[in-house]
Amino acid sequence: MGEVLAIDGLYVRATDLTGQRSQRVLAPRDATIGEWVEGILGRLSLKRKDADGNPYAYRPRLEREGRHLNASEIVGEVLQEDDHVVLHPNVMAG
Amino acid sequence: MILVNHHRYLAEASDSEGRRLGDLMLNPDFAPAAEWAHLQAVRNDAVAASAHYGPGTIEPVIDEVLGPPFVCGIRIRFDAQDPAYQGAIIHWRFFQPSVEESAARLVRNGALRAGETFRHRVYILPQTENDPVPTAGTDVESEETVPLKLKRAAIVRRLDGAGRLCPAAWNDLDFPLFVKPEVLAEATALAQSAGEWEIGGILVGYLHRDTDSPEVYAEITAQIPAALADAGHTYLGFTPQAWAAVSDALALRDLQEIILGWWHYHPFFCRHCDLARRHHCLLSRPFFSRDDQELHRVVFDTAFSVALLLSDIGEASLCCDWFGWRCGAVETRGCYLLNEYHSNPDDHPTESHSTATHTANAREHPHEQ
Repeated sequence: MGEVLAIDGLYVRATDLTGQRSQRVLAPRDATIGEWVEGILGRLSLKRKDADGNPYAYRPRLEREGRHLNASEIVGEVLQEDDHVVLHPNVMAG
Repeated sequence: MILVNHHRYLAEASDSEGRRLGDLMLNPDFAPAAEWAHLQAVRNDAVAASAHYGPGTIEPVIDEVLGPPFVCGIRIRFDAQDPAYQGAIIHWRFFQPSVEESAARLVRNGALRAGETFRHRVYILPQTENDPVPTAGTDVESEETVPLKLKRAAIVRRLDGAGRLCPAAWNDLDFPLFVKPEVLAEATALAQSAGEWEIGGILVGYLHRDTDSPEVYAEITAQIPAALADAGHTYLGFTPQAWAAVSDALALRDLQEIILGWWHYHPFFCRHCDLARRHHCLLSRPFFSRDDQELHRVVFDTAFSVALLLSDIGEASLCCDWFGWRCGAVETRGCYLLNEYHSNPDDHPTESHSTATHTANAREHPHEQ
């Protein structure tokens, strides 16, 4: 018999920059935005690391407020049920 | 996005005289190949038109000359595809980046000297129970299917009078791509004003389904400069702030356009070099850098995403090169330049406005500040 930890969270729509990847995901209220974003990258099939193994930085933009959220903010304090968050990568062209 | 893979892929490396150097374990990035195969299936009306691929299986294609276990490529069969559809073969060249990466091990153990060329043949072994979970790309979890916004429009109307850009890069495997002349004119003007700084933006427009065939094609109707990008002489940083600004500009246009790709400009890197050096320098020719490829992979991984590169190589006009996904790799490709008469066909829901240069969020290029 398995054990499951009940999570107090809210559902949020997360999309990639192009809008072609979209997922309704659970955001634990007590998690930091940074922790939550790290957890949903895989759900959106977004690349985590570059060819040299360095992690990509994604900033979540809360569409309701038109601002990027900081990694240290707490999910329960800034997100609302059914919010739309777009993940913006920091990437460099050469 | 689940891709089942029942095999391990390896390469048998040998030197120019046929002496065996060793076996290379390959870890190819299957996701772009699956995206491309999926788009090919959409173009053949063999799967539902979604932005990304669904569950499927990676199947090796056995090399008919060498026989098993050697392969000449792979084919990706999607669970939901029309059973009568065979699917496109992704040529063995797809494995090349993975072979190069793995060959570094042969250099480290002395079997190969750095810079030395070697031959390789790709072969398969069955997955074993101890192998990692058979996955492809970056993830094995499911995600919601986003349908492609396909507008019905006759391709013949756009082909009428359209010119071919980059004819040498033309490949029949590529989906048809059209660009409005003003998009190129605007990007070129921005590039010329940028001088020795890099500059870029995104390309937006529509995906269409032909009215007389299942063919899918793209039409770029506008470019939106990444005015908040972190620009340098040899780099262009697409920061979250830059993405936010272009997204806002796209929303303000309110034309139901989708992001089809991006463009950027390489200044004349060899401007200060003497002519003799320029002749041999790789930077004196248009090139899609490793960083450019990586950006395309991270942000523009849908198979219909394209990139426009404008390069100043010291000639009277800028070089214009198009890139896009083919067989899981970013390759140079062709593009149709729309006839101006047809650049606003009446099968669009609204009149297109190309000029997005001056948006609410736009600011001047850094070098002008």
